[in-house]
Amino acid sequence: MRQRTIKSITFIAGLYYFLEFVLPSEIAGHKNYLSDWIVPVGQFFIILWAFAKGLGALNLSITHSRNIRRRKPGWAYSLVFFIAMIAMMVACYLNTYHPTPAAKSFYNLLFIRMYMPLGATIFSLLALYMASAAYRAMKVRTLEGAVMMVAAIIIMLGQVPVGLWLTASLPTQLQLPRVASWLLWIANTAAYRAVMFGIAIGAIAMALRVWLSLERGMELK
Amino acid sequence: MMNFIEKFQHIDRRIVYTLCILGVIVPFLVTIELPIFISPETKGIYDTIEEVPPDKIVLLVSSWDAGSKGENWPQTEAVIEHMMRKDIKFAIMSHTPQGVGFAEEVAELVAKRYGKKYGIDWCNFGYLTGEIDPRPMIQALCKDIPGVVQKDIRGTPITEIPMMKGIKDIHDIYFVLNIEYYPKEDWIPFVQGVYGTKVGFGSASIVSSAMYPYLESGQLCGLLVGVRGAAEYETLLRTRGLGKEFIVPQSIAHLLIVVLVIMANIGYWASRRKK
Repeated sequence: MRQRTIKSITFIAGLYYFLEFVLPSEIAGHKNYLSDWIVPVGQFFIILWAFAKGLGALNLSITHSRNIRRRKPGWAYSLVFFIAMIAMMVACYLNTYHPTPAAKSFYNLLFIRMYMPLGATIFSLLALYMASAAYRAMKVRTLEGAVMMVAAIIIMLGQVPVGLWLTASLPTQLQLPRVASWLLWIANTAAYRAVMFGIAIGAIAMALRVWLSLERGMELK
Repeated sequence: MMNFIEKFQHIDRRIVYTLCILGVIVPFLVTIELPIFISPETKGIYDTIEEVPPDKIVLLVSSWDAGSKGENWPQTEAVIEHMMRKDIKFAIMSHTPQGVGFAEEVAELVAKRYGKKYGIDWCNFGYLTGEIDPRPMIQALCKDIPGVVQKDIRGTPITEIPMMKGIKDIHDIYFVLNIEYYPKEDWIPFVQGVYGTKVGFGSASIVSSAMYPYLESGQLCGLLVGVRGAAEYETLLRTRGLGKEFIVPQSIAHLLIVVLVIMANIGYWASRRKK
């Protein structure tokens, strides 16, 4: 019964969005009544999403509390998770509902002085790894490799002013930013569209399987 | 000599890291001016903002956070500066909780320079769900803005905000600009495709190649590509901001990587020749 209910809701929800999107706003003088429901249905999904986030937090809490109880390797990190989550929840609550200077300072300490530098640090490290990886990996071993390396160099230099500075004396059409622009607008677009068509066909097949509950684990038993 | 050239492909990674760090730091200490090429994708965003009619607003979807602050902050600042300079009213919203505060900080900063006021010249819808799947929110927002947003980040009902008087649905929005690390492509089929509203993106450089098919087809009216997009935008605005400041270190870093790649290939070629 439960499975049937889940599958029926999945099908009706998919059908609603499909019909609302493909049907015109007026059919033979009659308005498309499905469109009147798009706002409440959208709001329902927004609320559902909030529940999903709560469920995610609950799931994480269960997993990490199990790690702590069983003293699994790295359980201290699970403890850090709880400390961080509770501290951030308290800081956000106080900053929103009791915005005293102390609450604001506490929130700023966690968000602006800890969270933001941490995020920026991770991305900065990525830049260094990418520089090192490019140096090591981009070696011309085949013709395809050579094409890729030349394209990468043109894009890397064409995307920044130094490319224009280096080729300023060349005819306009041969200057690096213009060559890079051609590669992005024409060559890249053609290749990327081919990839997107493939992905889209796969996504349609996948969506149909989920919508009709044909996906593995969703079949009616 | 050949042995020396061969070593080009085995430079220690700590040296590579040090060179990169120096390449990024030195341009902040020494002023270097480089010529800036204005790409059609940046010009597209600039031209769209230039033609916003006075009875419509711009929706700035700012969903970036600390990770892409270096690229998305200069873009947001340049666009907000343009809108405030042209007296164009705009509303900020975010798909991520972190994005709300960043965009508001930028707006407050630029507003001081132009004497603009919250609620009259801009407002902030705050966080509207949709990190993973923004489609239900986008579809609902297009039909009924006050019904979906209800209150701004300061708790004021949307209908009581002076600049939001008469703003009911997507037809009152001239341009949707989504700035984040990887902008949500859902704005294209559900907003540009259905209502014909202009949509533009501001993305990190590394993911920008995925947006060009939409530019070429005219579904996107423009694209700001990383710091380059911000620097080009500042050039169009005839101002100097973070975009122009950051583009020089990025140029040096790119040049350094190209030089290192060429050196590695020379070393590789030398070792193969020896064999």
